[in-house]
Amino acid sequence: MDSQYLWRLAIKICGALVLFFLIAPILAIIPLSFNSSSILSYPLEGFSTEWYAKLFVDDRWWNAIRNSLIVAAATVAIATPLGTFAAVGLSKVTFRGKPLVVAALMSPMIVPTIITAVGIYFMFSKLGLANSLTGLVLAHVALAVPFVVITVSASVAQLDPVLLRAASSLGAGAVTSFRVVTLPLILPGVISGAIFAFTTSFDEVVVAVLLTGPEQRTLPRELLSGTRENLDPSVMAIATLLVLFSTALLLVFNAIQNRSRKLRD
Amino acid sequence: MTENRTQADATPIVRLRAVSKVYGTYTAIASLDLDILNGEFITFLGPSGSGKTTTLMMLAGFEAPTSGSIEMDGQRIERLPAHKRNIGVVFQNYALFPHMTVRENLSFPLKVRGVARDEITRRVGAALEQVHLGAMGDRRPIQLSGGQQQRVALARAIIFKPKLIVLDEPLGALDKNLREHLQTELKALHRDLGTTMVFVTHDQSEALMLSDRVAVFNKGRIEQIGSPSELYRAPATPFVASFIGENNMLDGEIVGREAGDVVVRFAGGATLRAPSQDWCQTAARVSFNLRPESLRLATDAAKPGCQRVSARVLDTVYLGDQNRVVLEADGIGRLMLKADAENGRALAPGDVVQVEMTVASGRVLTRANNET
Repeated sequence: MDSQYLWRLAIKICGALVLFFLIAPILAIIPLSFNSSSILSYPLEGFSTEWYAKLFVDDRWWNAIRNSLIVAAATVAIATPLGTFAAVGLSKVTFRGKPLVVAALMSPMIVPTIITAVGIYFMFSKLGLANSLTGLVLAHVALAVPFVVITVSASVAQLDPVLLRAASSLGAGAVTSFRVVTLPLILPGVISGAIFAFTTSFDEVVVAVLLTGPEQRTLPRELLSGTRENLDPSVMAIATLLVLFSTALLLVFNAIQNRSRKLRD
Repeated sequence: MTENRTQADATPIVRLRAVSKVYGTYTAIASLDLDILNGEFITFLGPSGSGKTTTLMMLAGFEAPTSGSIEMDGQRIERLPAHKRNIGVVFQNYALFPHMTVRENLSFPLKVRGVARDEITRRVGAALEQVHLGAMGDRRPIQLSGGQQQRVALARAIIFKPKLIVLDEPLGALDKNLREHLQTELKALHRDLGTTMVFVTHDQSEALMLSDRVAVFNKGRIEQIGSPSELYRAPATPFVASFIGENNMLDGEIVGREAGDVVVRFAGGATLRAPSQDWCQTAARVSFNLRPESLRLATDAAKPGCQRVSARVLDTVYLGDQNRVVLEADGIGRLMLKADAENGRALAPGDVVQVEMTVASGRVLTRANNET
């Protein structure tokens, strides 16, 4: 065999190792969730769906799932339009302080979450927003908006400004033009942003630790205490469900990207 | 005069008065006065950066003039937003909405105007027929060729029956054959609709072919405005003379008058005559213009009203239907001549020939104002 073949083989092996490294920890939890032993370790003792059954009757998990979904949905509903308008607006104007405005918008993504979280905690305590889902939603919106701004900005950059002139020449005012021309063309970016906003909120734990009492516990918060306080395999069962859910989101995200690429070429 | 004039009448539909456009320290348009006549096909012709597109953008409402006024049908429109002007615009890169089908693109201006649904269906169908795209209604722009996309763009700009249609180098991106085909179609469309059209191009032959009138732009000003034949036969400035058609331009000085003619002497010492004009004065520095096709290789005795110079052939270029002959005329300078293919082929560099031209074909232009 020639050296080129060996090279390719080496590259494939390296690639496979990297993928294994990334995915092994995630895959490792799945068998544990079906283990009949209550001790979280390999080798497995036997097959059981006991932990899933336990999950479904435990109010603690249901409450957490409900809280997480409410908070994530509200975050998406608020952060997506905010970030979209910010991105579209920023694309239309140039002014002196623009880099500062952009930096301010992006800061929750760049500043370590714990810093933001502590700040939010102090501020929200004063405002009476601590220990409430409203407070948690507002904090998550701040964390999620930068992702929406980034994805929508990328879509807006692809948008030919002449199309907006064309819309205007054909009689469309600013609102119609945004609704009928801009929005459909940047929709892939908006949807990607919404998915990012959802996952930002859905697996956020730092702010949740600081800002939630027992009533407002979200899923990541409950998982965290689950692994620390009473480590039983139902934690693995819920983690497995989350992996499936995330995979589904990822597939949706890919499908959207492919669709928008097809429209453009 | 063989003019292209169609249904144009003398009432202006648009008046630009003292319009200027300044970007920072750069003056794109100095002070522009222009009347666009109802129903005419007028072309803004000029090199890039001459202000023709800026003027068009101000007409369409995408740029606001720094000063001056624009009136349409007697109404001031220079501060009116584009979507309230009711002017059809055809863009260079078509600007079709990629997420809509051809039919949806054409429906857009009608939907915005609240036209009833069956009326929309009827008018979209008619417009598709008008631009020969009857079967393409359900395709997306991406599935059409460049020429088809430009037809859709044209149909979209006329479907809401605007009083004025402006076209920004709409054929610039197309290959030569398709371009000529669409020029013919555009001209026919203008004849059918009778709508005033303002067309921007840097292609002089396109301007001559399509227009009732051509405004020649240079450095933010209109150098000359007139019918294609006026511009070709009687250019007002050296810029127009060189930009429209080919021209031999020779520097000289007026040394005398004979009857209605002026006598121009060149640096080499020879003289040629041309019809005099109002401004002509003895000792004026002029540019003496001769169209290549007005020069003939003389084979027989001199005709009355003609003048002759002797010249040496420098080079001949074969172009199929004709030959270009580059000559060095004694005491005058370099001349380019169009000979028919038979005539030119016999020539070789070094040959000495007699070149004949009528006095009427010469045109003197002042170099005082326009030469930098």
